[in-house]
Amino acid sequence: MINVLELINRILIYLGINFGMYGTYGQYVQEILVYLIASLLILLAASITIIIVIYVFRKYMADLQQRIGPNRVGPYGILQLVADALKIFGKEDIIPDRADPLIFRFAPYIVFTFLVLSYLVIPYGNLFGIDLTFVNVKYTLLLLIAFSAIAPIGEVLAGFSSGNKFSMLGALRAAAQDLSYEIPMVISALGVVVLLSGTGNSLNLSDIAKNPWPLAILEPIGFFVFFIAMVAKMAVVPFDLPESESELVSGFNVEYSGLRFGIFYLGVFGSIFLASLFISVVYLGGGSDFIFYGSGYIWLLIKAFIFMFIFLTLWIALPRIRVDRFMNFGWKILLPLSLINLVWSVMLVSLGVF
Amino acid sequence: MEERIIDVNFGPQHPSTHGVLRLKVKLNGETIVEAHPIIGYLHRNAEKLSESKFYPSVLIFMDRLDYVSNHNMELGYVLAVEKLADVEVPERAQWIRMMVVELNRIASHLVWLGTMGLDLGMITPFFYTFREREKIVQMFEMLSGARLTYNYISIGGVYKDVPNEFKEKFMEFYNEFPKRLEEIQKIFDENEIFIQRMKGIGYLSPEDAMSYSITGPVLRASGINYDIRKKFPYLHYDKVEFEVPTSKGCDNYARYQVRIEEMKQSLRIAKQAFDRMPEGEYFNPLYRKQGLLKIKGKGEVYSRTESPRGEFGVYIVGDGTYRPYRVRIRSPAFHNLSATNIMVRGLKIADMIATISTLDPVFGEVDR
Repeated sequence: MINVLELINRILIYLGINFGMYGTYGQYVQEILVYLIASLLILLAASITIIIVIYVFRKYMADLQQRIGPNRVGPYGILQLVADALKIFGKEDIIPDRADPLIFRFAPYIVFTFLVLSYLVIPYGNLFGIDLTFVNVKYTLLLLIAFSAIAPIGEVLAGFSSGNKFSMLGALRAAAQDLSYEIPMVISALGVVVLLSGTGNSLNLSDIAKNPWPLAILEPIGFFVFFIAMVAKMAVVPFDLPESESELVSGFNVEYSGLRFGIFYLGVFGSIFLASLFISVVYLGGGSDFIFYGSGYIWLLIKAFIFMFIFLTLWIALPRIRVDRFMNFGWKILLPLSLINLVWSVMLVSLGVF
Repeated sequence: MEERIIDVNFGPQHPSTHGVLRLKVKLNGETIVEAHPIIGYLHRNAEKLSESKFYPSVLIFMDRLDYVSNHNMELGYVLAVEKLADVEVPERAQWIRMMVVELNRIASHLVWLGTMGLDLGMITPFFYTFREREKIVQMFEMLSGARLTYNYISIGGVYKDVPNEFKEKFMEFYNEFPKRLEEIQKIFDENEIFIQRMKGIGYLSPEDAMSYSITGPVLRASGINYDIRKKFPYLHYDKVEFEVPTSKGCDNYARYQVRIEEMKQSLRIAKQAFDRMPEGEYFNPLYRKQGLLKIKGKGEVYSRTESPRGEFGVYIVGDGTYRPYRVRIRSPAFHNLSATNIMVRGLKIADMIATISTLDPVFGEVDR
């Protein structure tokens, strides 16, 4: 099995680009070049995925609501998103007088950058003998949690810098919501770490994904808490409190227009698919091979798409929960449950079950 | 900790203010300290304009009052003019009017149900309710040729007779609608979040309801059995069987339940009216010959009808000319909206939106 970075390096050498032969510094340059290409690949892949997710969402929602959905631009409306993107590019980029211009400009990029970085950390498994793991450090689980925790900060900054009361309320909600789901999420992920502590490096996502048992069966409570936290993380109905268009108009992004708004819009769908990937990597074996050698990546995609459809169905079917009830739910139900899950994992380990 | 109260303007351009309601809200964090509705953004001067029109021409203003239940608005005005000018109405027209008005009540409540879902963040039920409403609108199109401003109920009868295709369509709707309504009801009632968002929220005590002169489903949801169709029957409401649903819940959920029940009762009334509709004239032959513009009357009349939002009153003063001297409209949604502040004080922002949506204001009628 060959790692994707190694593959890129070999292709570069094959093309005659090899800084590695100019000593140690040349090797650094070569490595940076490889990482740059890998990041661009991920950026491209993430963008394409987001576009697919948006198209699937619109068609699926239309189907559930007995509509047809996009069907005018291109066959089956697949070019509708291109048309939307062109429209959004053409819009004026308005920065309100009351806004803090610097933070206002940067907030969408914070959201999107860390979204793409999170995509970089996920081990995509094995595709026909190519190991699609882009980041080969030990603690990818921590990295992923950290990256995905920074994205909501972009939302908070966007809300506060807009100089609008609605977006300020949205930012306050984003901050409160962030705290209420993130702590249970991390503790339930800690359950997995404890469970796998005997089997090697349990802070590495590839190692977590590699274990033969789907952890969702061993840790149903943790899985449940993690699932709910993921729904809260992507901030869609029933937990779309920072945005809640029927209460706060559009919440934290109410003042945004044009491309910057588009970035927030992409961010929502990007985080839906990221959450699906995250949950299938941690709890359902991720991209480990199953039945066929070299089919791990495809299995990961199948798992992620199943989760994505569950998330989208929740979005389409449910009303929005009230903000204080969500806080109560996070602190009074999810947190104790995740602690129970931690105790349960410790029990499993100490009894030698796992 | 320091408490800071901020003023926020909700509307008039806001996705969930049902048109152009503006709310001046004082917020303490997420909690509402005060909320004052400010109206008038859709004021079109219907009352004053009516004074310069002939009696039948005023009908177009009535159509545009409550644009969700136009037939009910027309009926209120037409009944008042008929009382003023002593116009006789053929029996068949009375029953057609009843059927049409009750169907319109269903359509109006369906719009309310869908938009309430939107206000709570549910997008999907909206499409289901509008699918059902579409069938009613198509029936109205068969009758009057219009989809929104029908101008159908006219002084001296109705504008056109019921066509033959209508009967088939009506029976199809009658058989199918209860099933569909049950389906839609399930989406709401079996949803824990919906119940949490509605139960115990937006409390309106019976005393407050009476002192704010609230009428319609909102009043009945506060436990007071007051329905003009029963208390002061007009048309043939005393000859048909129906119940007036009430609830003692006084909250958003009670208002939701009352409206759902009302839809079922309305369907019942519409069916009875449809069945008992006699053959004969649908429009007073006298006025077909001489035209409606000759109508005049002297004196004061007040007609009250039960619109989907409550008591819709039309007060007309005639001075013996062809034009009304004064037309005054008692708008139920206007009175219902006046209780906003006492209902939403101390609630969260999300609950305020839900509460206002259960009051079901339509601003064409509030601002007139």
